[in-house]
Amino acid sequence: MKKNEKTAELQETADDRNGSLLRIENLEVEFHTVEGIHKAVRKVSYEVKMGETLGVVGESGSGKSVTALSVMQLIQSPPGKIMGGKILFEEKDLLSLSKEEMNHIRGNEIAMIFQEPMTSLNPIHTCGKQIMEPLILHKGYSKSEAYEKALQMMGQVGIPIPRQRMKEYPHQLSGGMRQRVMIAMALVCKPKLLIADEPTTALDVTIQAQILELMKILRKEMNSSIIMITHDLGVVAEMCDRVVVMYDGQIVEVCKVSDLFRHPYHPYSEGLICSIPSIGGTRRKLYAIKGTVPSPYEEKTGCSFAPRCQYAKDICRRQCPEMTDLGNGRLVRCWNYRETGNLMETAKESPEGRGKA
Amino acid sequence: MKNKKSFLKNNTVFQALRTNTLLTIGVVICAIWLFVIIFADYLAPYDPLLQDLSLRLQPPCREHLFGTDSLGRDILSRVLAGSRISIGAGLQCVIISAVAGMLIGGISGYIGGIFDDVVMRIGELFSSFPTIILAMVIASAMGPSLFNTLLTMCIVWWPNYARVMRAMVIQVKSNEYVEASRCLGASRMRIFIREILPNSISSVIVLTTVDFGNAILLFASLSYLGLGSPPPAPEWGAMVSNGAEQFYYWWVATFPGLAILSVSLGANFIGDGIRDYLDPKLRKTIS
Repeated sequence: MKKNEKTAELQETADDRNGSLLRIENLEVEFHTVEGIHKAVRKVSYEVKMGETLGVVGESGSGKSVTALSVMQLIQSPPGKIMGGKILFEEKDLLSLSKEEMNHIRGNEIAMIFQEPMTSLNPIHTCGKQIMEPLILHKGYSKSEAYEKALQMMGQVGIPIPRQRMKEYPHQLSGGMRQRVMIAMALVCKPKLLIADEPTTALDVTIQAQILELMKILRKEMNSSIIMITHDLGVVAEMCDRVVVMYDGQIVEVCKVSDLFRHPYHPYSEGLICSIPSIGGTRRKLYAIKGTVPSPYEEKTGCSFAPRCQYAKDICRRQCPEMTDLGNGRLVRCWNYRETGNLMETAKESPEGRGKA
Repeated sequence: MKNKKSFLKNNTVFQALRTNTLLTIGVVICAIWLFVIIFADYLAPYDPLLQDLSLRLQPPCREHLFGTDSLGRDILSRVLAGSRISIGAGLQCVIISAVAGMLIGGISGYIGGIFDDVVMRIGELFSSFPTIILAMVIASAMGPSLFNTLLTMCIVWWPNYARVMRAMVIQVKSNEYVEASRCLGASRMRIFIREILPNSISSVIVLTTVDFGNAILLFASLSYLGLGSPPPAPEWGAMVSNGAEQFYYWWVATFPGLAILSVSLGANFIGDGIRDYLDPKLRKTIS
């Protein structure tokens, strides 16, 4: 009971402070490979507010992970290179920081959870040692202090018998437990921003639900912001406040999660929403967006989604649309956003609609 | 603090010894040889250099347990005394080259790029030299001595370790946990020491122990050419090659050969044990 009150309070304070924690402005990332220049991220700008969970969705290769890795400055260079833009974390431009300053921010103020809990833990160190590592690195804790803190953290992420688990090696734990250890490692320094790169993709469904639940609780307890990178719209609906839809290195739509599910303006977002299978209702053939992601090496004129878009007109093929501000925090990059919604209409004929939305 | 009993139970080295029989055997063999090295002077029944031509090529008997060689020297005494030279030379060569190779190969693989290319080509340059010729060149340039021979062996030997280490490091550094560690804000140095080295060291350790026997034999062949320890000194490799000339007197070559065999076997067992110990998946625990 008491806990619920407390979390409600925290939620309020998070809503009150709408200051931005991280602001990405016109970020451009390129990969210079043998086949040519791959513009993985093209002028991406978004903002993460204090205490909010931002979903970033898109197909594989849409640049969502590259953007996140740029924030951490973990792009392999060469071949990757940040060509321009700013990444402002609490008004500091991360791109202008020295290596040491960046090392201090990584793991301390910005932390990251990876997709593969099986391979993201070092097989030769005990779980306890790995959770203690960031504390010793950043907070200057002694070993025994770090041990106590790590033990407490293990309990917090719901690992049973933490004292025993501290001594165990990653291969002795199940996938879900390992992901919990990863989360403990990421959160032990109480970072202000947590980047979760498809944190549940490698887990089975029941464990997915547990991990998401855990992340929600921890977010409330620690009051940190989360960037949730995923291609699972179910996760977005469950977790996020706002969502950024990316396609081919560009942002195509930014909006509140509820708005995305109610009325997506960009044809690509619409396609994504319509391709979620619904539980119950009349059976219909699942919608699939035609075609495939365009080759990253091509020089494009016009909107890069135009070849797959059912609304495409001449102007779409000639000129790339700019971001249109629709007010109330909604942005869309489309010439025809007023006309979209046909797919949604046909889909709505099935009475129950789409599950969680 | 902890009492002795719980220390023994919690100490992983002790656990490894208890659960891994081969490791224990290896440790025992090497401990015996260490004992021999230290107390060779007291253990040897005769002077290893004492010649008695009236007793030449005696088969093993009560007075001479391992028999005598073509100059009537007691083989048991020579094997015991030779342990210092042979094991010492083999160990020095293998350890120095393994440490050098590990560092050079590890750093080269970790940094990559042009630095890596240059270092590995230099390594190939060294290893493409025939050892014996290089030893002779160095000996003629700097004068023949034990030190120069060991130096030559290390110069020729380190690229093997560097290559293995480099391959392991390149494989390990692409692992996700290395990136995860970078995400936690660890510096390049810390990642190298904490994440990469311990994950790539095991194959070099195994290679080192396998090579140990080879090093003893290489040293023997260099001694044979007068580049190592000079002839009257009891040196296992030289004794074996001596015995090979007297084929019908089997004991002359057999006993120093067995000595080499037992030492490298012991080293191999220890190497395997260390590898198992370093890999938590293979480490057995007493519950």
